[in-house]
Amino acid sequence: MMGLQLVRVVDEGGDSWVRLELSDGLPTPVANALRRAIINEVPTMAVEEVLVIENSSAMPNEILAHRISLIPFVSDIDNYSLPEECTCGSKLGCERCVVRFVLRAAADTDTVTVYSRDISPEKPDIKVAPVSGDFPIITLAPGQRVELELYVRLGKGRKHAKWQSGIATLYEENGRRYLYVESFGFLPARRMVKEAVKIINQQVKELEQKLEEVMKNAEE
Amino acid sequence: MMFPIRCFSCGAPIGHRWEEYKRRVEEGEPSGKVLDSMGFKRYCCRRMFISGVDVFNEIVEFHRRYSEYGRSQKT
Repeated sequence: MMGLQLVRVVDEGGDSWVRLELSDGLPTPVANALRRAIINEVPTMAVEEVLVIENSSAMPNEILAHRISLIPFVSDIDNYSLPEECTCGSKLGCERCVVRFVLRAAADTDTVTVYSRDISPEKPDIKVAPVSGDFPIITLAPGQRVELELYVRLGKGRKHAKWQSGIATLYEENGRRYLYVESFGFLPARRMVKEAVKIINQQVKELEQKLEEVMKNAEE
Repeated sequence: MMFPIRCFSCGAPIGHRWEEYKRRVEEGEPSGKVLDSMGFKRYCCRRMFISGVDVFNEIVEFHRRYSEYGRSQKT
């Protein structure tokens, strides 16, 4: 199979989407595994824990935390690791598995809308940041105040949809098969496909190892 | 409540485009055209905008008007 072109980029919209044409050498079940890996397995970053220091707004803590958790963060997957795979073993997390942010806002005499751009990192100059600064989080009436600490962690779409890296669709048109991949902004669309391939490889290797163990045990 | 951050069905982020959408529709642009130009193709995301109502602003307005009355209850 070496040297054979399995996929071809038909069309691309910058980092936000790619359309791949699948050759006959790539069976549909494999392409489907790729599609599912993009949705379920590609790690991305989102707020996992919210520490509410003060919330005198009209929105309950839970709803506010849920809204914030759905904001996609530009994900630095090379320098951070999944909390369950991190060497620190700490539940709170270390520098390698958690990024801390703070959200402080208060309305004085006028109503104030708090946006995702108001989320500031605890340490300056890091790559991780909300995908867009224009997400309205909450509107505060005069006298209301929110002060939150946000813990951003890597996660997978399998655990919660907030970590779903994007949309992947497999479809047929005029006898040709396509894989359409759309990014939610966490990672560039091409990177999502690459990561999904890496993850499938890893999973196949793990399966092989487990199978070998089982066979060995059966022989004994 | 406030306009959702993400589309209920597909999960695509939509919240950051809401204010632009609302402004342009209020200025008289047809909402379908606005959504086309913003690149929302799927009908799940489009219905989020078309059926979006900002109820939270009314709650905030209530608090703005009557916050002074409630202030005496605070410690």
